Amino acid sequence: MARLIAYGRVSPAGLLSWAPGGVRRTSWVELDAGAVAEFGTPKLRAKYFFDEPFTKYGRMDPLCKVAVGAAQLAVKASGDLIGLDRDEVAQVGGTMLGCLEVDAQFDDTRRAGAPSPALFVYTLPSMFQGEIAIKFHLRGRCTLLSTGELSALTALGTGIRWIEKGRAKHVLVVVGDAAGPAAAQLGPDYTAQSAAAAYLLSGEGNGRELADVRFNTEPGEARILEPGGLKYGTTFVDALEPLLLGDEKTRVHGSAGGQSVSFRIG
Amino acid sequence: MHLPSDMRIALAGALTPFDNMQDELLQVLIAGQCAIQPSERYGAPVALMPRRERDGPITDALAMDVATWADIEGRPDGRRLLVYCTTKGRFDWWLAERNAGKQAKYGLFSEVAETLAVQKLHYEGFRTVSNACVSGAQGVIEAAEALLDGDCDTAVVVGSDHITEFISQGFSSLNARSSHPARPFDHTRDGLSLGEACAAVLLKRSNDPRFPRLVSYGCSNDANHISGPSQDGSGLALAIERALDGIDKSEIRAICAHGTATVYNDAMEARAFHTVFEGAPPPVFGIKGAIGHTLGAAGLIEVIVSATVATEGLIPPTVGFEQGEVNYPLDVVHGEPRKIEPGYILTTNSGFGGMNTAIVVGPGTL
Repeated sequence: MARLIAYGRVSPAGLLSWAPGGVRRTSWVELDAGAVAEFGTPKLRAKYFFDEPFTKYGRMDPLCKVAVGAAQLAVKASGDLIGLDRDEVAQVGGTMLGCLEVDAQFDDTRRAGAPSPALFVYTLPSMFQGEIAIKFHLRGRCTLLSTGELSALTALGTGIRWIEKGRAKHVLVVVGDAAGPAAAQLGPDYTAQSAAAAYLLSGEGNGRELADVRFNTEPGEARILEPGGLKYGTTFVDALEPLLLGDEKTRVHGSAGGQSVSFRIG
Repeated sequence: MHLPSDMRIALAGALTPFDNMQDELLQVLIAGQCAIQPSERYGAPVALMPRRERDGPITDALAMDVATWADIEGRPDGRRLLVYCTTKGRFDWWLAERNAGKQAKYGLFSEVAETLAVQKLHYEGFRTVSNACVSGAQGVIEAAEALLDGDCDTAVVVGSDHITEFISQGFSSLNARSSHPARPFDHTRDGLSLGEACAAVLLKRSNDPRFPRLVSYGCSNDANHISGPSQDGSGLALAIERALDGIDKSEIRAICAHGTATVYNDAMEARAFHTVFEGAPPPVFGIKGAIGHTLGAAGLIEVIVSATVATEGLIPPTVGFEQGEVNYPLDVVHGEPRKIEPGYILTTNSGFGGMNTAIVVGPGTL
């Protein structure tokens, strides 16, 4: 059985971190972060998440910034991964849009005749996992999955499975998307939004029990998750959050794009 | 992580710059042919797929070609899962439309799998795996785990990527490309050659001894540098140790290395192999000197080639290699093919973001 031992979330609503015994919410106003930008969050700065200077953060692409921020919230809430062997902390990522924003930025430099290597290295959807691995010295296995709007639940379900099946001792599941001006090109349904969530799972320690993952099954008696305000790769994150942070025992079921994920919260 | 003995590759095929499928691919590799050609458009030698008239994004078309082939030839049954492996998917179409000021019709890297699985093949499940240059190998692992967990009865893993100005200029901006066809593990190597390809394998649980086995796998992250390999090879060594846990290392007949022909990647791999095999690694070969680095398809094609080598006991020569390094020397198969006893082949991949995978493939019978 897997346990959720820490959680972090970055969204237009602000920052949230949780570990057994306490939840901490921080608004953008409290952070004196300025106006919420068209990306759905204020411009993200390292100081909102890290106590020490982290100069590299400012050079990251929008997806890395929001994902690394969420990861830091969970890591800090866990007591900086105290007691966890970092070689055994795996990562599962989820995203729907991937690195679309930095793709556009790099392409602009390329078409201007000066392709930027600093931007090009971020033009892969999984680069936020590399940044998280470096920052927190995590040497476990990594995978990045995309199943459209089901990406968050697919990634979380996979992380739970890895613990249950003994494929990893600990898993940091990070899901996110950074939809800015480039994503708006996809069509009128694509509105700006930057959000990410990080779920730190372990087979040990205290936390919410998560178990019995099922992919593509009927919901049965499970509680049906309805998409909330968060979109893209973070669809269902806000619907799931109060259930994970509460104490009700239930089975949840979410579906999108003809697929579904279901698991038990104990 | 060990897999049960019934985890098998029931069907495998690849479309490569040689314009062939699996059987012919090994033959051209055995013959030491090279598909990498000079390219004015892409600024350095590349290995291109034959260009045909395509309706829609090329990546979609390539993936559709191999997925349809696997579906027809392999006749997957029960609950079917499609795992699509790519680094960039169809993004170039989105860029082209964006740059033309049009509303994009194509864009999301994740949509190819859904299009293939739901609209074309009517599979019950799909997912996209995108982990830089280990995507293909990672997709095989995801599919095997889905089979192991009973999420599906057959899994088709498809990988495809193709060369664009975006990708070629990006790698050039990193000074990662060679002005010659790639020379994996050669002491004069100075960069990779890009290639494009698509591949498919059909995995299922079967005791049919004809089918090659997926024996085990291991993965790790370097946690070291965002685009460069860890110079001591410790990240890749960790992945290999995880794959070989419980396996007698002397059973590994050969290593199908990532072998991009960049200075740092190949040095890192050599060091990792020496670490794991205590200074005496088995024979090493690589195929990127023949078909280039095919990105999201690379790991999948190397699993396919490894399965064939494991079964036939014939290692293809490493095209482009002439003389190796003094430090951490490797027995790189080159010049002509080498016969070995059929047995386990280790295939390794590493990618941006510090990703490493190692997969052990076992022989089937012919």
